[in-house]
Amino acid sequence: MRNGTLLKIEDLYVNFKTDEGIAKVIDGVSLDIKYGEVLALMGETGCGKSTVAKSILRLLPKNAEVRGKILFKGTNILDLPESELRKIRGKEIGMIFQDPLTALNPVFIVGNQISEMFKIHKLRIKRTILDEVIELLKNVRIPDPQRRYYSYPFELSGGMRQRAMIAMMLAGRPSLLIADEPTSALDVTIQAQILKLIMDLRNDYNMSILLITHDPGVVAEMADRIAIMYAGQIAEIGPVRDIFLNPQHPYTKGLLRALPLGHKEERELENIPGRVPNLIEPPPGCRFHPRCPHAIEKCKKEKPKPVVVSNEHFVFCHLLRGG
Amino acid sequence: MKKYIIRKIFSFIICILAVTLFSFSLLHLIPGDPVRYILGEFATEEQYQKLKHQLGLDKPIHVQFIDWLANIILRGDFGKSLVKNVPVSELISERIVYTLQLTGTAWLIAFALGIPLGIAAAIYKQTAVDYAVMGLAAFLMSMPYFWLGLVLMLVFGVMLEILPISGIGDWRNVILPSLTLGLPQVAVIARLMRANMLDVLDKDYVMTAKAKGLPNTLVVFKHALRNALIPIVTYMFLQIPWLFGGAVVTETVFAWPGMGRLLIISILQRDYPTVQALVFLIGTLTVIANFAADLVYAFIDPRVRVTGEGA
Repeated sequence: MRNGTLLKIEDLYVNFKTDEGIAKVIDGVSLDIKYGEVLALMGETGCGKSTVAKSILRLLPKNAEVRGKILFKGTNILDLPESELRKIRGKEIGMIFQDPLTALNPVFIVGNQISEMFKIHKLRIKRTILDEVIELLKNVRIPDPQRRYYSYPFELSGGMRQRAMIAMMLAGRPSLLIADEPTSALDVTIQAQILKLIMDLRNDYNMSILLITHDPGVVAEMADRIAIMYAGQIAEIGPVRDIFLNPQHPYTKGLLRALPLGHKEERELENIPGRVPNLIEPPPGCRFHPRCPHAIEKCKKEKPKPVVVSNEHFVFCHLLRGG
Repeated sequence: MKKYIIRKIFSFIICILAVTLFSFSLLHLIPGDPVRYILGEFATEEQYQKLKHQLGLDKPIHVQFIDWLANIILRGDFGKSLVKNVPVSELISERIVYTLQLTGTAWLIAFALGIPLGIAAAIYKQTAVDYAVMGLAAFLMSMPYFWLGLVLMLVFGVMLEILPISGIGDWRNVILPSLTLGLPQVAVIARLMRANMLDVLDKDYVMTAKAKGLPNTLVVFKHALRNALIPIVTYMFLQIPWLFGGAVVTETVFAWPGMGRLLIISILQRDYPTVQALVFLIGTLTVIANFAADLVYAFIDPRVRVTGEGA
């Protein structure tokens, strides 16, 4: 496994033009993923975590305006021409989505959809593409792969579809897999199986994973590091243990208190007062300040810079300046 | 699937019966008398009663209907034209070729132009291409057949003098009437195709196709188009009866000797057997087209084909 940074996002801003105005969905996000690492991007629905994921492969709709740098192996993906971008999509970076039923094309058999990867990326094959696809289906532990090759997506169960989706994205042996809420649409019992599969495959295929989720249980089980997002900004980023055991940002603390973590002492679930802000006119400075119990004057004016808590653990909060 | 087809055939028969019964009653309800039409003003009462008896028009209406139906089912005989005194089947078979020529060409024009225009409008959404296609569609859709026909005649026949105005002849005679019949359909299909395509381009599986690194042509023409075409193919079949309806007006405008024109003339002359036979044919065609649409839908959508259920 190589050392160093595989993907580096620098100062990413994403605006969406809407009928109501310009929504400033991502407000200066920076993060990096190392070779072989699992980074979880966690936050509430609408915090922009999926937007970050999609901007990496430039899959955002036409009304999105993206600024900043997304460096993959040192190349800025945002600057690449279409033809170069296509060589990265699916080949270097794979992506799986939340709902595997809608993410697979309903009118083509699974085998056809996976075979495409070998054709367009001109992947090396040992014997025939059919053999390669069946091998992949075996790797994601789909039973009876010879038969499943000819199945339409609607003939498969939810878990099976997500496995097929994963198989498709593994074909190019990508060095980064973006998993956008890969288990949210699945039954709880299936979720664990899929997560285990992804972790096993990470080892077999030597991949880094960017895991988008709102589920801290998933994060705790899989991730090496975690980035907490709120309203388009990173609140806190660091190793999973540090974040869970020693949260610094008021939002992270609130988020963790709002979770049923199964602590020994019985306690009431708490919620964070206030609402997620409107992103067309977001609060200036730290976007969390209207909901923050400790907000000071500075929070309303300046966007916080990262404060080092410990090795690799950073928090974006004015309260901790120098602390 | 077998059960489905049997059920379809059953409803098919009931449909045809209802259509013929309805048109039969309607025709006898409207004023006008074929016997008077044939004999003219100065016939005696005796002549009138004699001919009426000969033609079987003195029997009660329900008996006439049953006689007529029995003749079709048992002998395949549609009867004789009251006015021209030749078998109706002969009258129709002379004309059906012309109508098929006209509607077939119109059908081809409708899809050959409508589908690509709709795709282009969807891909270049909110650009000049889109606005041009949608503007043209709105224009074509709001024009009645007879007016569009007259405009085409004026431009290509009278002003430019490059195409014959009316009647039959060689292939050039087909162009104006089939454009008249086909162009409003181009508009409908272009709009439908655009809407389907835009809907499909927003689907997750299109994003997956992009995420796989497929070139745009494959994303659009394989992954999106195949899905967007499903409703269009169904529509192609549902469209056939409409074309026959439009042919009635178009054939009249262009003096095209097809079934549509025969229908108009027969109604004016109260030629009951001919009108009946034509309504029967067009009704049957409509029901068959609907049936075909269902079958084709099942064939091209694997979700229907494999499970036999609608998706």
